[in-house]
Amino acid sequence: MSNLNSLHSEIYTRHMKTVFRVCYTYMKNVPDTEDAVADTFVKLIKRNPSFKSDEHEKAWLIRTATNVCKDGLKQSWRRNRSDSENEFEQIFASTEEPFEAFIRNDAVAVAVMELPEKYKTVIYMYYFEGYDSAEISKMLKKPQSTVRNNLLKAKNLLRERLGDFYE
Amino acid sequence: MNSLNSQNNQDSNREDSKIAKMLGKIEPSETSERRILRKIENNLIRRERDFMRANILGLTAALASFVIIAAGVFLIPNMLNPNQGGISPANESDTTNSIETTNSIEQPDNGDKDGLNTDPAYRDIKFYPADESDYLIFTVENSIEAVFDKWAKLNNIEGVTVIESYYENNGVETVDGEVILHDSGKTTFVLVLSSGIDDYPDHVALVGVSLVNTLHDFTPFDELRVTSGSFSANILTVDGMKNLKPAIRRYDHPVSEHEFLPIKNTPPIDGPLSFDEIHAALKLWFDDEFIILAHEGDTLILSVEDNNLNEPVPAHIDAYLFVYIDESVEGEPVYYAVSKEDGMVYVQTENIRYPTMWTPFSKIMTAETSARLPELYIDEIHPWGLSCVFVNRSDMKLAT
Repeated sequence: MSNLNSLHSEIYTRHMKTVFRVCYTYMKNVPDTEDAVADTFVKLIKRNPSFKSDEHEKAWLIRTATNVCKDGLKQSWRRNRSDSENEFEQIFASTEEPFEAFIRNDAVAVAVMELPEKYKTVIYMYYFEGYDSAEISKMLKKPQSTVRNNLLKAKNLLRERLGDFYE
Repeated sequence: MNSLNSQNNQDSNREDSKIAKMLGKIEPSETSERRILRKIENNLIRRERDFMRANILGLTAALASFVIIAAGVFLIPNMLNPNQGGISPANESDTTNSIETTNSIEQPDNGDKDGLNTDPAYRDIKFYPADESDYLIFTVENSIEAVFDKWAKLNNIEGVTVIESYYENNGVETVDGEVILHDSGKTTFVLVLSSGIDDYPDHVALVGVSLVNTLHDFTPFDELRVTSGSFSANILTVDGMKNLKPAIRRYDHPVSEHEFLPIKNTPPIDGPLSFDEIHAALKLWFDDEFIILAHEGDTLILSVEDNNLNEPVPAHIDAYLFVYIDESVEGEPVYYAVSKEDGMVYVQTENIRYPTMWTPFSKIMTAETSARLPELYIDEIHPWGLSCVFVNRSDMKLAT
């Protein structure tokens, strides 16, 4: 982490996995996830925002990561990467990450991955981070009603797709 | 206590759920972590290099300017002095010819790139889509400057100058560029522009105006979804600019998709708005529906766009508001519709995507309250409740 100062290194260590998980739910493959995670932290370094708390820091990263992923998916930058980067990735991406086989074959994972984009972050924050809708609302700066509504719709979709297997 | 236990059980179930377990399995390997770090470092190195290159170019340009000025100061007077071998009166015509030749050089093409010239307000905005990179080059030239100038005049801001415009894909969804202006009093504004949004690649939207002093913090716009092209068009037409009457906000206040952008008031909204504070229209986005509300004085100006609402809206309905009322029905959206013709407010609470059954609001409210429409809205609508407002490009009119 030679180019990262100690503060950024600490933030990276604290939240890299969170950012990785959020990004993976959007990008659905490791190379694009890695790009998105890297972009998220580059934005952190570039803007150097001051955070009031660990939660504030995490919320900022989750929001930024979500936006990076949405932008990435929309602009199809993945297809425009330079040859050298692709080469670089080919060398390293030849082996699948251990969790990917599980994700591909797990019904719950497939159902979550196939959710519309707008539900993914709230589902992640609700189920994995354990936040309630009020907390998610605050962290994502969205009205609570929207968060509740998105959660409700996402749960209904999952229930529809997974049947009794859901929860 | 019961409710607390129930909450705890719920939370514990949540942690144990299959979804949580599945998400927990998503973890980067050490190799993956190394790759991410390398990407970050490469990016930082590239930025540093670009920064240095820009500085070198800047210095070179400054040096070149200095040389040219020096040449002008020391050489031209000598050249013009015939006694020192300069240009004699007979040669002046040559100089004129030379100037004429320069003028005859074809002016840069401000042509219809990306169809922007479909609206007069967009003429001469050059727009280069980001096909090859993360960056768009967004240039704002004379005519748009004139538009901003007009906007400034409408708002009694004098001497607006476009001092900088640029675009950077900074991960802020849909925000493409900024035009930084300042007026003669040196108050600096930032107009945040967006382009190429979803199905409206040929429009530019002015999505925010801000003071520049907190420019570095871009977070508030991170949830800002840009409105439809129709909204964009309205905003950037000179008349539409009036709607922005100083839509100046501080950057440190979050903008969410359910939030008003007050037009007149700079302080952040932290409570219910009084109707007088709402001077226009706001972006809003929710599930592909757009609504815009604008008003001037006591008159509501609302308009409807059939944007992904495939069912016809009753002809007499001029606008509708898409509303959540948190306490009454959880997550259940409600449409309010307004008719300019009969001054009625209509309400629709079911089948929100296809609102075909409208009940006149006056039937569910007293005549007295329906007559007091503006106050009624404020009283009835939770400050966070108004999801979105939109305006029809052709129908947008200001009250007279």
